[in-house]
Amino acid sequence: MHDILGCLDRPTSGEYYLNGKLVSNLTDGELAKVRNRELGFVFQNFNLLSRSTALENVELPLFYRGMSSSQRRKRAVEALRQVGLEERMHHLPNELSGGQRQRVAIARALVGEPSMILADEPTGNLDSKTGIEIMSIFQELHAKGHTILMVTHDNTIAGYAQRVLEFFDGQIKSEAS
Amino acid sequence: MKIWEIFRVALQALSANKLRSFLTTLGIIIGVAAVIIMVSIGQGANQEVVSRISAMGANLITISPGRVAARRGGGWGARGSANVLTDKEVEYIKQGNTTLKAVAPEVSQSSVLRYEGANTFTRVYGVTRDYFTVRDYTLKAGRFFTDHEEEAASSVVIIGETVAEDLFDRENPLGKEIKIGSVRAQVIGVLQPKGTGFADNTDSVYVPIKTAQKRLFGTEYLNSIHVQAMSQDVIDKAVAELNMLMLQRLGDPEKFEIRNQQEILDTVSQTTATFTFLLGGVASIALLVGGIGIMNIMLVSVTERTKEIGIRKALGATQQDILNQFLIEALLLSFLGGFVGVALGFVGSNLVSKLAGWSTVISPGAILLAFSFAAAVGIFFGIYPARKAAGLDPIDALRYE
Repeated sequence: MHDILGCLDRPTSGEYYLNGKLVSNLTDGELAKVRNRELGFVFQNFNLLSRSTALENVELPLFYRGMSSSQRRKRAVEALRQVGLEERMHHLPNELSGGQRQRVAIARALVGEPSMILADEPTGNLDSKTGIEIMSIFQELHAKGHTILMVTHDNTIAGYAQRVLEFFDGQIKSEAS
Repeated sequence: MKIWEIFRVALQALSANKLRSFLTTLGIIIGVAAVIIMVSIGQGANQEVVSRISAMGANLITISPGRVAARRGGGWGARGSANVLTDKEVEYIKQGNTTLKAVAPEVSQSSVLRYEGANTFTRVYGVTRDYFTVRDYTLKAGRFFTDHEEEAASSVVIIGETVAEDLFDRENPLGKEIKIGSVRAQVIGVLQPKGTGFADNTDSVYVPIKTAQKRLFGTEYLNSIHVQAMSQDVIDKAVAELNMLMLQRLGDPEKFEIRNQQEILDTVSQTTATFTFLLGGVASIALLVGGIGIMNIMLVSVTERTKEIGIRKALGATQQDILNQFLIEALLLSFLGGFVGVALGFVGSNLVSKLAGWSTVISPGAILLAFSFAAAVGIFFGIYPARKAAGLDPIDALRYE
């Protein structure tokens, strides 16, 4: 489900409209563009490039957008500031704690100003305290007007959401707001 | 996306694994260096041979007797044995031609030379003043024959350097009398050594042609006639003209043979070119193997970085972006290899010429060839791994551990 919404996979049946646009039958190249412009990903295991610094990781979506390096840098620094990591931006991922890494990932999802941020178990690899930190960042972002779609098995985490869809074996079991 | 940024990313990826990148590049380095060294040896050999042949004299054409004995019958002689060339033929050529700068008849036999206790067995040439011009021989000491000496068949001799050493050791040979066979002759000059190997002029002596014909050998026949064309451009015309003149004079194409230095030069050049091609070909196999090394490492790299590819794709990298990234990494490897290989090729071929004493010629063509071949190998062997990377499914790639 997450993969289809993330435009990483195509539905075997049914249609997917994102921002009123049918995206379920786009070509690979068009999907890549949609992922780049409309979506931001936050993964359970962070998925940062280990050889690149935090700043370079955050710049990456803008890089594939073809933005000039000075503009990229400006926006990436701004995104890192939003997650409170601007003083650690020249560190490599393995020099950062789990919570910090996830914040870099959030900055990376944020930097392209996407229509929707997709978070797949964002707190799954974190202790509960850092998990709460991460969730408060999401809350801040949500307050600023970002749409956030989160997949989780944790009911506490699900409690942060405005709207909860419960899935069981691929079927919607219940819906709550 | 700017090219130099892709380059920066590629450089970063390669420097993450420096030893591996270096070893991969080594294949290309060795290949390129081998091509450059081998071709430089081949071309050096070519230059050497050409300069040796050219040392025989510029624009040289040689007329030698053919197989048939003139007039006297007695069957077929060995090639060059026919007694057909005389002073009359020389005169005929001198008058009839329009393209020649000089005509120099030559008669020669081997003979024993003596001076006091020393003796040596060497080739004695009966020649005219023109001979030295045609063969481009100069004097180290003394003088050439005078007109009077040529006309009067004087007993004067110009000797080569080896002969001078054999007979006179460190003594000054000028003005001394030596015995050629049983005839006494005064040394009037010593030749500047010229040419090497088969076109050597050091182990021979030169007397006026009349002296040789009348006093030494007792023959009127010539061994050969050397002629010099006015320029490179008229050589073919000169050969045709000589053929015609000789045919008019002797009436039988079997009686004479005309050899053109350019022809020999062409044949030899062709041979060494084949040789160079062969050496270069063998060396380029090394380059090919280097290319396979690049492909191997790039494939490993793609597998290793599957996750990275997945992340990049999730963030919006297109297939083209990924393709470019991996292709440029492969290209960078082969270009770096190319550069270092060219440098190593320079050093190597200099070393070869120093240590082995072979002359080597590094031509820009060989460098360009080796380098562009390296680049082509990089593209060719880089494209498959890059396509493989680009074609990865983003979900599979992201889940890959």
